[in-house]
Amino acid sequence: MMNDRFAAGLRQHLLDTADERPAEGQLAAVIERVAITAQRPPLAVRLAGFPGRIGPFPSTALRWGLIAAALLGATMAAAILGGGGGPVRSTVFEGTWTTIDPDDNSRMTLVVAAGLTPVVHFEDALSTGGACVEDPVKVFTADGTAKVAGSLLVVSFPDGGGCGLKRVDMGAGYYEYDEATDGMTDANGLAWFRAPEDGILPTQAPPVESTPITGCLEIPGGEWGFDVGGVVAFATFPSRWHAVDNGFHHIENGACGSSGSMRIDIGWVPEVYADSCRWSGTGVGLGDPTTTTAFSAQGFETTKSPETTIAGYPAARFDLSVPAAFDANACDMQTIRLWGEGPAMDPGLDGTVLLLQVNGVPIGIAATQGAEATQAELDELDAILASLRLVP
Amino acid sequence: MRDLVVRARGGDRDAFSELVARSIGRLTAVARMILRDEYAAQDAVQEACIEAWRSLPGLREPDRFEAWMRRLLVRSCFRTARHRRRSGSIEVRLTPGDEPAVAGAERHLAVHDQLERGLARIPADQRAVVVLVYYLDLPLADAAQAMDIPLGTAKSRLNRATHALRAAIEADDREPMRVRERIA
Repeated sequence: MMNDRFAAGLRQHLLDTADERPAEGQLAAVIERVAITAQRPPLAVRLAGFPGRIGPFPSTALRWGLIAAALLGATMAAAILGGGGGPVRSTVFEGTWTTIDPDDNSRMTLVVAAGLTPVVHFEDALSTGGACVEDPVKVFTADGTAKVAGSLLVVSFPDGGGCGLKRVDMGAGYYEYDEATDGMTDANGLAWFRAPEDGILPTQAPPVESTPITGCLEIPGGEWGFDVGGVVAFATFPSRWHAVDNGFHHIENGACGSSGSMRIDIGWVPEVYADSCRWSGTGVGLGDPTTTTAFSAQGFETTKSPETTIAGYPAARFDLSVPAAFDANACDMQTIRLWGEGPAMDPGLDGTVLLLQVNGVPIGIAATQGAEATQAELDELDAILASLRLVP
Repeated sequence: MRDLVVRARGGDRDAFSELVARSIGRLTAVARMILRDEYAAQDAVQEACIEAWRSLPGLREPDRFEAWMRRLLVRSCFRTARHRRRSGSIEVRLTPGDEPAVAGAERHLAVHDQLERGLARIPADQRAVVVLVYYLDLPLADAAQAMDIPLGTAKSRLNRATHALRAAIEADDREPMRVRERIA
């Protein structure tokens, strides 16, 4: 251990050498970027995906596709909770629809008014085509009219559309309604989903770059969904939990800024580390017996229960216990990691790992708890895991 | 401060700019210490600020803004450090390589130099915990939270970092004739 004199010297050194002068133009550069950057509404914060460094992550299209899927799920849940009674619409097309632009992963919405010849409003949150090259804000909008013809909605935008500086022509198009899914498919084969009735929609352009989204969100009690590279994992949380994003969904009990006694990590896990201590570059793909071998070979006390199912999907379950005497100081970054930027496990920590695939999407869930966790807290953790449902 | 955070959370860019203006100096100092590269530090601060602006609507407790901002900054620094490692960046500290042995009144300066060299040698994640605890004077639990690591990991990381720093100084004391800076 360091003595107080050394600590005082170190502290003084840092204070003496700290340069707290911002660089010339640094503040202006931040303000300039803020001026052209939209905020992420809370709904997007809790549902957005977080590409990490654990491999060839899916595109942001998946993330935003999942937002749409989540919105659809929320709509379905609302319909179920409401006893099937939805709003009365004059046509099946009436309402707000949303989808993801496959060219640039931005969100697109179509608002359809009531009636057989409704007014329509189209919006692309991020136009990356030629129409808005000179516009500082790339939100493309167009207003038009439509006609309902059986299962088709034929739309036209006589005044074209644009982002503000100029308008471009837009051809007529159509959307075909599918009763089975309560969705639409447009002329390009793109699926559109009905937005929730409460009108909450992410309204910002998605980040073009794959910068991991960070932040801390204190979760009010209730069911929350987390995008996992193609699937939304819903779970019901009591109050006093918070979610943090670090290339992974990290959900922990306690308030933001505090260290909880329990933690759940949910993420897209195509591989686990063959060595959770010297983990750098040791990733191995999932599969039996690969995963078992990888976990068993690392000094963990490992058991596997292959018969586990999560939300109806078969999952491999591993109960891990890091020996209290394990010396993590020799590990990469002094950290024991199971995969990617997933859970960091301390010596003495117990945890349960669930690995499963949902429609080909590899998902990892790790629930870990410290020795200080009470039985009531462990029951809380079990209840959260039991509430998991996965919406592809 | 709280009023500014509430306004910024509601989309007020001027309020957010004021928040940034108040904190950018301290944030930049922290990033400089962790990354030891002026341009990388500026990038990390800018990315952290933009991410803060984007994610601010999700911050439920305005009073936690500073801790939240620190967390964003530390992560931004780690991302920058990882990117630099992947892109083959190297860090070269141009520290004199053959300082004479010193004594007496010059001892203070010598310790400063030794600490600088020691800080340059340890990895960014170890520097981060040192900066959070000894420069920002954060409790270790808060530092762990800022780095998104368990408390135990933060303890061991700090322990390792400070041991490395102390060892660097002791090594210099034992062999004061030639101390050469390594390329990180």
